[in-house]
Amino acid sequence: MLEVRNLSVVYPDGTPALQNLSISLGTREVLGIIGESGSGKSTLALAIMRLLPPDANVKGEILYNGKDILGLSKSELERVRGTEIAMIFQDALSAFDPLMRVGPQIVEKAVIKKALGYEEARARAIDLMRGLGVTNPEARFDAYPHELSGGLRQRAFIAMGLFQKPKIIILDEPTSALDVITQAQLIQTIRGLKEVGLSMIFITHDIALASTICDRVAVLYAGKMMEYGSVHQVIRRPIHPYTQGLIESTPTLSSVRRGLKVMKGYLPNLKSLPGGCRFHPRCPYATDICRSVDPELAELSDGRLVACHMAADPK
Amino acid sequence: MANVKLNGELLFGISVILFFTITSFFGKYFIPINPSVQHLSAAFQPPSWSHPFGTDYLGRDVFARTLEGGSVSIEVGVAAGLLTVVIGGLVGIFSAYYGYKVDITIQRVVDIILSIPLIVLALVLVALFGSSIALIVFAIGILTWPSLARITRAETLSLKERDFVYAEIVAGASGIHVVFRHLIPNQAKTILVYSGLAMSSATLIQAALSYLGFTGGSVSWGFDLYMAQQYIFNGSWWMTFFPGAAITLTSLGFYMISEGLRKMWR
Amino acid sequence: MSSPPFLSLRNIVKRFTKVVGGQTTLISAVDNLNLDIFLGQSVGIIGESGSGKTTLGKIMVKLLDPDGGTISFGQKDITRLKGSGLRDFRASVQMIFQDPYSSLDPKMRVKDLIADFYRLANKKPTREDILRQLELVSLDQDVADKLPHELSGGQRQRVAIARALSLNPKLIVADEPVSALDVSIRSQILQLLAKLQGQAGVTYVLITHDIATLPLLVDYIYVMYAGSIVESAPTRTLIDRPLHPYTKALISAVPDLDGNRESGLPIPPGDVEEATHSGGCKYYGRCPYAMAVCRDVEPSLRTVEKGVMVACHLLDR
Repeated sequence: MLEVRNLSVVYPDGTPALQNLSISLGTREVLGIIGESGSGKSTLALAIMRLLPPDANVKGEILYNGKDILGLSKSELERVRGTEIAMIFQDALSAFDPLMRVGPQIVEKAVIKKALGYEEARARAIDLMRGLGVTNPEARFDAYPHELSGGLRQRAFIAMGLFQKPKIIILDEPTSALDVITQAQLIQTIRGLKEVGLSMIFITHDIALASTICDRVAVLYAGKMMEYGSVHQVIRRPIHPYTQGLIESTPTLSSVRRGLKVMKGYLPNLKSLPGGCRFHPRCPYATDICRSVDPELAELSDGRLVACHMAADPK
Repeated sequence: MANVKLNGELLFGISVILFFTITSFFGKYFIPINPSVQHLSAAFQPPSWSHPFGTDYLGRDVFARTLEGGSVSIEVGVAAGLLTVVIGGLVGIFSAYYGYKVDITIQRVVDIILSIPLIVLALVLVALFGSSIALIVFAIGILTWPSLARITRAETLSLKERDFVYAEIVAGASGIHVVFRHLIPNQAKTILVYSGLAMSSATLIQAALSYLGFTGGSVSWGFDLYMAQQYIFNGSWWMTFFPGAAITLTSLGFYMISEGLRKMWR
Repeated sequence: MSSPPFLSLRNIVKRFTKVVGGQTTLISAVDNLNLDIFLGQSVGIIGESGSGKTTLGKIMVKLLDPDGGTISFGQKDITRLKGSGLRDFRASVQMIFQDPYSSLDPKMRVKDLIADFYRLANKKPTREDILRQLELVSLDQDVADKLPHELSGGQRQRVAIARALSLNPKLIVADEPVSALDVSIRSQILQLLAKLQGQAGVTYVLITHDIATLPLLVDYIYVMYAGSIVESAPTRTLIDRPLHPYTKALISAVPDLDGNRESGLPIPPGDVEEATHSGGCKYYGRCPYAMAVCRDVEPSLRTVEKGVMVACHLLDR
């Protein structure tokens, strides 16, 4: 459905945010993009939606149903955005105009674009919100953004994203600002969307969270993809040292029994990346070749991709 | 404050003020003309080599008077400006920091002062204490500090919610410590920019006061301007032009310094 | 515990006014709470947003005054004390904040930030003292001359810890110390805090919403819901055998890597802000086991077994 080919993004100030990234999203699939700050995960989302600053240097292709998003005209782009591909991000409060009620904002684009009647749109929005788990949706429709709790606001945001019935929805850290229980509620809702046939790109820094909902994952570090495969492969049996380190050093309830390992070092400054493999200063297996040559993504026998000189092929 | 990038405004402002400061305070050593000596026979003379700015209605040399007036204007401008900044800055910061009753009371005081007309206050003070430069500085300072207090209060209200202020309190820092070591340094640029504005308006206010007769006993541009008005129609343009230009330039000079600093630190 | 508590909170109440759609309501951020902190026994306070945990933390370090109740430091009632009367208290109890980007004065260099605290304790620090503090938190010497914006989040948090330690406190209240940090850095800071527990002899009160970060550092956990403690137990006991329905929901909602944790437990609907019931148990509207008594009578915190306390009518039998 969506194919990103060799995407590279350099910001106007010279920061290399993404390097040669290639991923693909199939129908009814949830692809997880896992990364920390500076990994390029949000840049990827913005690139797909063409929301990067106009003077950013963008190379590569983003193919949606065969057509390159990066080459679309303004009118074609406006048609794709919202109706075909939608995006939700972390801070739902800033996504809404604080002076307008939530309901009108949810239906706004559809009413303007497809000339959907307001009453019809309102009914549809209320149904949608109910389906997303919003209690008392009629009242919420008329509420102002600040009157809703974080969880409700996020659901309203999702309703806004889904309103025009897109095929793909990108979720950038949708639950990071929420409590664990609200997060669990939202994940359940998102799983429901998957059942209904939506394809999703789920961006998060929480690898455990990704494992509960994603089918395949891509692990990004400092702008480059380190590992790419199914959740079963990458998260249950990680091969790349960064993935391994991330899993072993994330505090989870099972780490209480397993014990928590510590990943040494700092996240690199994108403007002054280490030579060779960008992860080598923090890697317990780093050798000379790691310090001098940046590894290419290689396909292993189980079908996953790993960018590591020391990756042992699982037999 | 590490990067000092000079810009046009800053250069202009500094040059003007520096020029007036040097000429007013040290000019007398190079140009030995007495600004107060009257040569009634030589009154109303247009600019010439012996009198570069001409003479006034009493035959006094306008050039010398312009230089002499400068010392008063710069003195009052700087002193009243500093007084405004110190009072306004501290009051605004403490008012916001301690909050509650202190804040409410001080805000009322601010409102009251902002409603007092300058001239009325000046008259009252002169009637009570006699006319002098110190009094003028005091009067201007008292009336103009509230504007800065409003600014520093707003700035402080947001700063004091920052975690580093909480950390200081938890470590046992007193209000004084927090204000002087943390709140003021974090607003230093705002306060400095404002000080230029304060000096600019202090200069204008001083000119206005001396125009009305409150000269504080010294030669002053404003008063000269007042006296010169009557003689505009006999063609003695130099009597109004030079004092007027001097007031404008000095005030503008301070203002440009303020603008220049603001631009530099954006 | 035979020795008296180091810090004791009794019947603490703190209310805030909230204005929603023209209606002003009074919300109890902390509702009649009791808590004892003993030196040598680090505790965790777990709750979500709206639970009142951050408010409680601020009350504990006297950044916020409670509307009711008493705070005792040793044998002394410090509830109403201010200023110089709190000197001993301020030297013994420190706080570490969540946001490493706002907890350091952006205008001061690291060495001055640390020296500032030494001076508050009336000590004059030497360069060696500063470097020693930096070493304590595994920071390089050259960090001393840097400004906060030149440091990463993890480094800033280390500076905040080094600074707090320069006062030699006995108790450190840490409010979400790693939540704002990148995931791969969190374990470093947690390990540092664990190391310092032994090395510097500090006791922690760790306030967080991430229960997985607690076992490394605390022996005892309090669970907060809507301003009250609903359960408290030793760490492993709480995690392995949670008793209160909220605690159970909380633990099962935490995503884990060992397979999808579908424990079969229904996810409670709504959230604290809207669904807090008044007049009975606050969890009433969301609890899958709710009974009639839960609607009308607020359960009190009772000891169920040694060291385990729960506020739930289910355990009243």
